[in-house]
Amino acid sequence: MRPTAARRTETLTLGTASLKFLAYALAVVLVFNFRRSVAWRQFVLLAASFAFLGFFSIHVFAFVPLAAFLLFGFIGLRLMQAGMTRLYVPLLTAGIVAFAWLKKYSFIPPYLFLHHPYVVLGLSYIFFRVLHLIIDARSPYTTLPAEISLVSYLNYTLNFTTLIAGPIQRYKEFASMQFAPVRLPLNAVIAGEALERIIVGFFKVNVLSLALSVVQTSALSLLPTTHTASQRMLTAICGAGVYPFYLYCNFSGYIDIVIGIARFLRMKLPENFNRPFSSENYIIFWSRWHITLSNWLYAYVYGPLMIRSIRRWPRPSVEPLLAVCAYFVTFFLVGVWHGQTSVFFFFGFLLGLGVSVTKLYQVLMTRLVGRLRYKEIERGWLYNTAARGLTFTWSTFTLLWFWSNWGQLAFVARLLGPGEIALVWIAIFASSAVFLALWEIARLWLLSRQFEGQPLLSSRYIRTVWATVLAVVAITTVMLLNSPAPDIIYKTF
Amino acid sequence: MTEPGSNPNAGSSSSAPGSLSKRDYLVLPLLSFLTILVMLGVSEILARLIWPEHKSAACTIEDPLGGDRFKPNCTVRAKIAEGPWTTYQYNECGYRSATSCGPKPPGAVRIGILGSSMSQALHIPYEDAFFYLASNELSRMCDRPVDVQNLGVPNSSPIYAYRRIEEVLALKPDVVLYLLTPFDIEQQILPAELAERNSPLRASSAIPVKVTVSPLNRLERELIQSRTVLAAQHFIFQNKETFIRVYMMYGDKADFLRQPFTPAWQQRFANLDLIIGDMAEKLRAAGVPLIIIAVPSRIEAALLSSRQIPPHIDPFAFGREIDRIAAKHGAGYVDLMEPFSRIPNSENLYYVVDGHITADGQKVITANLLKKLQDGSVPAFSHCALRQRAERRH
Repeated sequence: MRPTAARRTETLTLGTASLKFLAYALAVVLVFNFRRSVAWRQFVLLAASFAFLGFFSIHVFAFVPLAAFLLFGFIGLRLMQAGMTRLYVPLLTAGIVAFAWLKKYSFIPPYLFLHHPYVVLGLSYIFFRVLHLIIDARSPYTTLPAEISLVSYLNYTLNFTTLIAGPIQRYKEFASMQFAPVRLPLNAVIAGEALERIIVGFFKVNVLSLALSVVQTSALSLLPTTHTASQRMLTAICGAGVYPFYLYCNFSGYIDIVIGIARFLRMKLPENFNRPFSSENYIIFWSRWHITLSNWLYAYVYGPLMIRSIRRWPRPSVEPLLAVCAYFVTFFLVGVWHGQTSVFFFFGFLLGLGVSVTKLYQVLMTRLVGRLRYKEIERGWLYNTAARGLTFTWSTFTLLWFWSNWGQLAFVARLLGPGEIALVWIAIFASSAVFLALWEIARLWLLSRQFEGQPLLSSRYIRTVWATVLAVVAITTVMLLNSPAPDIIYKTF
Repeated sequence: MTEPGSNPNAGSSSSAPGSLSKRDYLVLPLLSFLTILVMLGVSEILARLIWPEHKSAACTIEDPLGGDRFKPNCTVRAKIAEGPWTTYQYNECGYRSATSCGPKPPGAVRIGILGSSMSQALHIPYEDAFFYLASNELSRMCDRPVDVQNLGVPNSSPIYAYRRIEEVLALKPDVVLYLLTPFDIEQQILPAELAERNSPLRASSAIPVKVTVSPLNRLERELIQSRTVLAAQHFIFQNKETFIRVYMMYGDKADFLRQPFTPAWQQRFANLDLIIGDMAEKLRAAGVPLIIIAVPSRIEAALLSSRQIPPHIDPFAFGREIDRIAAKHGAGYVDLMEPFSRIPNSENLYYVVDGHITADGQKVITANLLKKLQDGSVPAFSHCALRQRAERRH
C-alpha cells in the first residue's frame, strides 16, 4: 500500500475510545433524542450503526461477507420462528462453520478463504447474537416476540455501541428498552453518571492502558538485552504481570464508554466486569471478567451440556464430575473463540483446565472436609490472600497464549531457563497476593470513610472533581498523542 | 460462573434516578472549572520548578546575508528544560570557538564548520561538543594545534550556509565541514531565492504581513508550549513505538522517511544538489575539501535502531541521498546512519522533546568524524593517520 493510501485508511478508522468516536456518539445522541417515537429511534440507531460500519472501509464490496452472514442469521431466525426445527442443527452447524471460515481459522485450508479484503468487524459478537436468536427462537419457552422485523434484527445485531467488543446483550433486554413506547428516563443525575462513566472509561483506555502497555512493551524489548538473572527475572515479571491489568483497563474502559453512551441513547447495557482481580478462584474470576460472554456460554453451552449429561448419567454422585467436564468444554470454547490459531486452542485448553481443576478442587474439598468447614476455610484472610494471588497468577499465565505466539514463548523460555521461569511465577504469585490484599484493604478503608451518612467517595462533589481530573489528564494525553510529535525546536534563541 | 454476573458495584448509571438541587447546577460546573484551573496551575508551577528553562537571544543578531549570526565577543548562558546550563561564548567574529578567528597560527590546521544548530552543538557545553572533542583528539594525534571556527547558527538554511562560503574561505581553513539534518532542508526554497543565491541580497520592500492568531489557537499554542506539556511529552515520547507512531502522523514533514520520495522532497534534494554543487565548486577552487555530515534526526535514530520498521519507511534514505549528492560533487561524506543503527535505542542520544543531540550523541559524531578525517581524503590530516599507524606498530 502506498503511504498516501495508508493515511487515507487511517482517517477512516474510528477508534472506539477516541475523541472522534465520542464526537460521533454525541452527534448520534443529539439526533436520537430529537424525537420520542419508536420508529425514529429505530431509524436513527440503524443509520448510526451503518454509518459507523462505513468508517471501516470505503469499499461496499468489503461488507458483502458480513451482510451475507447477517442475512443467513435472519433467515435462520425466521425458519425457527416458522417452526422448521429440523433445520436447527444444520443451521447452527452452518453458522459456526461460516464464522470460522470468515474469521480464517487456521484449521481451514487457506485456499478455501476469500482472498479479497473484507470487513469482519464485530463478527465475533454478531455471531453470539445470531446464535442466541436462532437457539431461542426454536425453544418452546422462548421469550422472543413472535416476529422480529429485519430492522429490529439489524438494530440488535449491529448496534454500534456494542458492535466491536460487546457487551453481549440478549434480544429481550435490548428490545424492552429500544422498542418500548416510553423511553428510559434521562435526567441530570443520570446524564451526569453516564458522563462520569464515559470519562472513567476514556481515562482507563487512553491513559492507564497506554501506560501499562508502554511498561509491558518496554519490558519485552529490554528482556533480550538484560545481563544478570535478577534483571532478566524482574523484566519478565513486568512483561507478564502487567498484561492482565493492561487488558482489564483497555477492555473494561471500552465497556465503560459504551455503557455511558448507550445510557444517553436510553439503553442500559449489561455490565461486563466486576472487580475481577478480587476473585478468590478462577470460576469466580470468569463470573466477573467478560461477564456477558460467560453468561452466554453458561446459558447456551454449559447448561445444555449439563442437562444432556445428567440425562445420560443420572447418578447424583457423578453430577459434580460432569460439571467439571462441562466447565472444561465451555471454557475451551471461550479460548478458541478468541483467535484463529493453535495458540488459542492451547489458550482454551488452559482456561478449561483452570476452571475444571477449580471445580474439581471444590468437589474434593467438600467431600473431604464437609461443606461448612470448606466455607469456613474459604473465609480465612490468609487463604483468601493466597487464593487471589493464585487466581491472578493463573490468569496471567493463560494470557501468555493470548498476547504472544509459540515462537516468542520459546524464545523467552530459552532466555530464562526452567529455574528462572519457576522463580518468575513464584514472584508473580507472591507479589500479586500482597498487592491485591493491600488493594482490598485500601478499598475497604476508603469506602468506610463516611460523610453525611454515605461513603465520602460517592459524594457527587468528590466525584465531579475526580471525573474532571481524569478528563483533563485523558484529554491532554490524547491530544499529545494525536498532535505532531516533537521535532527540532529552537527554544533558546 | 456459579452465579452469572450480577454487578452490585458497577453501573452507577443504572442507579435510581435522583434529582439535582438548584444549587448543584451551579456548584458542580464551578467545581469542575476550579479543578481544571488548579490542576493546570499546580502542574505548571511544579513543572517549572523541576524543569527550569532560561531562554536568551542576547547574542543573536540579524545577518544581512539572510539569516542569523552571533554578536562578536558575546557570552550568554541558557538552558532548555531537558538539558544542562550551557554557556555560549562567541569569539571576535561571532563564532562558537574558543580560539581567535584571526590568522591561522603557524603549524596549525584549521577546520571551518557550517550548518545549523547541530553544527553549533546547541544545548551542549563547549567541552562536550563534537568539534571540541574532535579538535582535541586531532591535536593529540597530529601533534599540532587543530583550530576550529564554528560558523553554525540555529535555523540556518542551505542557501544561508552557501552565502557564507566566502566568509569561511577568508579563514583559510584546511577543511570545511557541513552538517545537515532533514530539518535543515525541510523549508522549501523559493525558485527566485534559489536563482538569486549568488546575487547580493536586496532589502525587502514588502510590507511585513501581520499574522492574526485566533484566541483559541493562541490558547492551544500556549498549552502545547507549557512546561507541563513538555514534561508529559518528555515521558511519553521516551517510548520508541509511541514516538514513531505519532511522528509518522506527519505528512510532508515525515516524507523524507517514506519511499519513494514525494515530488516535494525530490525538489528539496534537487535544490540541495544545486547548492552543494556550487559550494563544492567554490571550495574546490580554493583547494579546500568539503565534508558533509548527515546527522540523523531523533525519528531516524528511533527507526534505525528499531527492530520493526513500518512498510515503505526507510530511515537510511536521507543519508543515502546526501551521500549521493556529496559523491556527485566530489565532497566527502560522513555516514552516521549506520553507526546509529548499531547503537541500541539510539534515540536516547537526543533530548526527547527538543530533538537535539545530547553530549553522548556528540561522542558518536566525533568518533565517526575522526575516522573520516583520517582516511586520507583531507591532506592536512593524512600524516596524522600515518603517525597513528606508526605509533600503533611501536
